[in-house]
Amino acid sequence: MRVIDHYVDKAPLRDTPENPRDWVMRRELRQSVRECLTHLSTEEREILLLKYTEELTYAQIADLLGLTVKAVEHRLLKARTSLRRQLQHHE
Amino acid sequence: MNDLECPLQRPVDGEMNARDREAFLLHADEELARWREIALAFVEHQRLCEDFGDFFVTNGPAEPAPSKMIPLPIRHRSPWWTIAASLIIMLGLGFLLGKQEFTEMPLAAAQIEPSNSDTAPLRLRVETQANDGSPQTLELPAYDEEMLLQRAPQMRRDGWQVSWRTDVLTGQLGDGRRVIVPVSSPSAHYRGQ
Repeated sequence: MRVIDHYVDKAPLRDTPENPRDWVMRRELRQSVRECLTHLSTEEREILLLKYTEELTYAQIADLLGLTVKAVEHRLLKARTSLRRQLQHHE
Repeated sequence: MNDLECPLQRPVDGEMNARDREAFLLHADEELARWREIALAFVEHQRLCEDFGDFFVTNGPAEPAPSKMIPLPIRHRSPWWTIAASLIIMLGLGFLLGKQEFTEMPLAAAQIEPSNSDTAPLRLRVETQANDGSPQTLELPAYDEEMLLQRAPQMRRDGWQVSWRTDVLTGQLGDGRRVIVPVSSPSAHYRGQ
């Protein structure tokens, strides 16, 4: 099973006590990131989740996906670039 | 793809050793704009960690799935009667060795009879063999773990070494979570007065 299958797109957002305006902005931003994630390829989502949710190192991701560390580095770079592009369009 | 972004992203992702990081930062000093890129990369990393951190695993929280359960590789706590039986066998051996000589195989069978009250010790019937080969039945008091705990001070005064060993056992649930289970096992050895 692919790592991406473990995650859901509509996971509830965590609420933290803070300034109401900041809270709304953060919530919207998180929602934006999630929506943008759905427009990425499975490989891109997978590697971003492994990096930022699981907080794995390049070597750990490489082991998990059967890639070289260099390939992980480039795939991450590509995924981040795609996410940025999606976020720009989203705004 | 920006080829310059890879070395920039490595220190942000914590993938650069101290020496390379130092060289990288020295190189950054040559261009002031480089510092801005580094700062932005760190901010982006922080934001992504926060925004992605809220995702949860669909099969995460404990939802028992009996059909998929993997047996835990842990030792289950011994039932009270096995502890009592072990203790009483040791007691019986100590008692018998003090009274008479036995053959090589003194214990043949042991049977526990329930006590009539909560406080009275259980009675353990031990089928044994005397030195001349004739069968012999001994009835001895048996204590469960809780009673052993209560009687430990007296037993120590009577020459017993009573101890509890706690083992911390680890296992893995069917859904992949690791569990840690402390298991306490009492033991009693006769050391003499």
